[in-house]
Amino acid sequence: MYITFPQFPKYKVYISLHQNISSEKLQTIKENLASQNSEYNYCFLNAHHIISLAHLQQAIHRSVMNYSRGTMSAKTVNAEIILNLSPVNSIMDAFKNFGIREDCDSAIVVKIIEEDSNEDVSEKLTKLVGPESELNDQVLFDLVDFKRFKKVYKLNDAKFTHTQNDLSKLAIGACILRGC
Amino acid sequence: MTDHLIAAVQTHLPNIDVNIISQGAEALVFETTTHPYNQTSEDASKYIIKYRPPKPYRHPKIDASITKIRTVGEARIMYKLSKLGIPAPTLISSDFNNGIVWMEYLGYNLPNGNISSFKNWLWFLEETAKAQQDEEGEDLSLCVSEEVKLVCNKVGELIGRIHLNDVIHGDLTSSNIILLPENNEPALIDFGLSSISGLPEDKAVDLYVLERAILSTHSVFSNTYNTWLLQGYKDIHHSKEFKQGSKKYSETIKRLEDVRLRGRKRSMLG
Ligand SMILES: Nc1ncnc2c1ncn2[C@@H]1O[C@H](COP(=O)(O)OP(=O)(O)OP(=O)(O)O)[C@@H](O)[C@H]1O
Repeated sequence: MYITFPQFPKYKVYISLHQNISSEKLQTIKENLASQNSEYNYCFLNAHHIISLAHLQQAIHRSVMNYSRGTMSAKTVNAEIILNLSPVNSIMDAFKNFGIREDCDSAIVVKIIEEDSNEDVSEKLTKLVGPESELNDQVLFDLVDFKRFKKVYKLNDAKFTHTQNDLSKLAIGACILRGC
Repeated sequence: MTDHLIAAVQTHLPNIDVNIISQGAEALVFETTTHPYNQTSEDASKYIIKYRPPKPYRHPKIDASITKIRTVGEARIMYKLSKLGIPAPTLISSDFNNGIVWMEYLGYNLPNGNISSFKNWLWFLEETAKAQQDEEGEDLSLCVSEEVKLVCNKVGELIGRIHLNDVIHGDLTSSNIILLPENNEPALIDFGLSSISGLPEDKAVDLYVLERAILSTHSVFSNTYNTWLLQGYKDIHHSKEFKQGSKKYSETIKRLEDVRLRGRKRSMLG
């Protein structure tokens, strides 16, 4: 799906979910990311640590803001998204928790593009990662690894963590306050 | 004066409809119907944007750092309360470098169109009671109903709850308490002067500020309201949820008596 942010009309964002990715494919993706193959210039995320679309979109929004202003903390906008999902400043930890790994068969892929570009992201991604799955809040919620999610966001002592909405708001708060 | 500040916020928030609802000494507060990143089509929600504009009389670098520290400080308290499950606006988005925080909009509109702060609600009840009054004279029982008592108790509990977690609000007035659409459950807003402290003195000053605010804003029934507020404050300290609550309660109340005495002396000296 494509989203746009009212504040940043120059950009549109492509987001897709891919499930049951084979470990060979993950291996290939990881290798190409490591060698900075420009064909793989996407942000690949571990879907098991993302609780809602709002959670994901908060991080993308902040990354687009920093990208458009030249105030990014990471080297690339893809890494910036990963950092902005994290509640801690270490880019290593951010990649560990939100980047894809060989044992993570569900990935969210994000690509920030200029509004007037007519690049067919969807087609390219299907070739690289496989078919897209439906992406909505319910699907994301069903994929979350709650134990890990709560650990990453230090929510084990939080009072209300029953609903997706509760968890989503707390995760967003933690991302917003990263490094503060 | 305000116009250029609104223009300033709009440079940081292009394409966002902003409607100013308050201009304080330090910050402007806007409401908007646009979500920064998660607009859903049939969504009629509102959001709050709090903006601390640059202060021209401060050195720009110092100003930027002060603005950032205060904006982050306020956001941090809001996050702490969310995590504790204490009703307060949750964070939506931030642009700390420009002194901007987006948060959840709390409250609803009272029948007279005003926002459901504790202050507006009590005033609305007084207004309604006065309008209904007939020849037989005053009947202000609406202002001291069981419902008002319950709400006052809950406000006292809420303040007790933040104090038991060592959060000092710093600016407790009846307009910084918002009643939620669900049963007029109270929530806190405006953490611009908040801090973390376990000292009975700081908690007592918080209570004293509220007591004075009630006295000046709701003078007719201020004694009743303050008694009910303190009752709720006491009850939560004695609940099983909090260890050592009753000890903390007596320390704070003892301190409150000192603070009141200081306040009286100060006003006598003029
Ligand atoms: N989350 C919110 N939901 C609904 N209304 C809000 C919210 N935050 C602020 N307001 C409204 O805006 C007003 C001012 O907000 P706030 O007290 O945070 O700003 P301030 O600049 O610190 O104000 P002051 O200087 O007057 O204390 C509040 O009295 C309330 O009416």
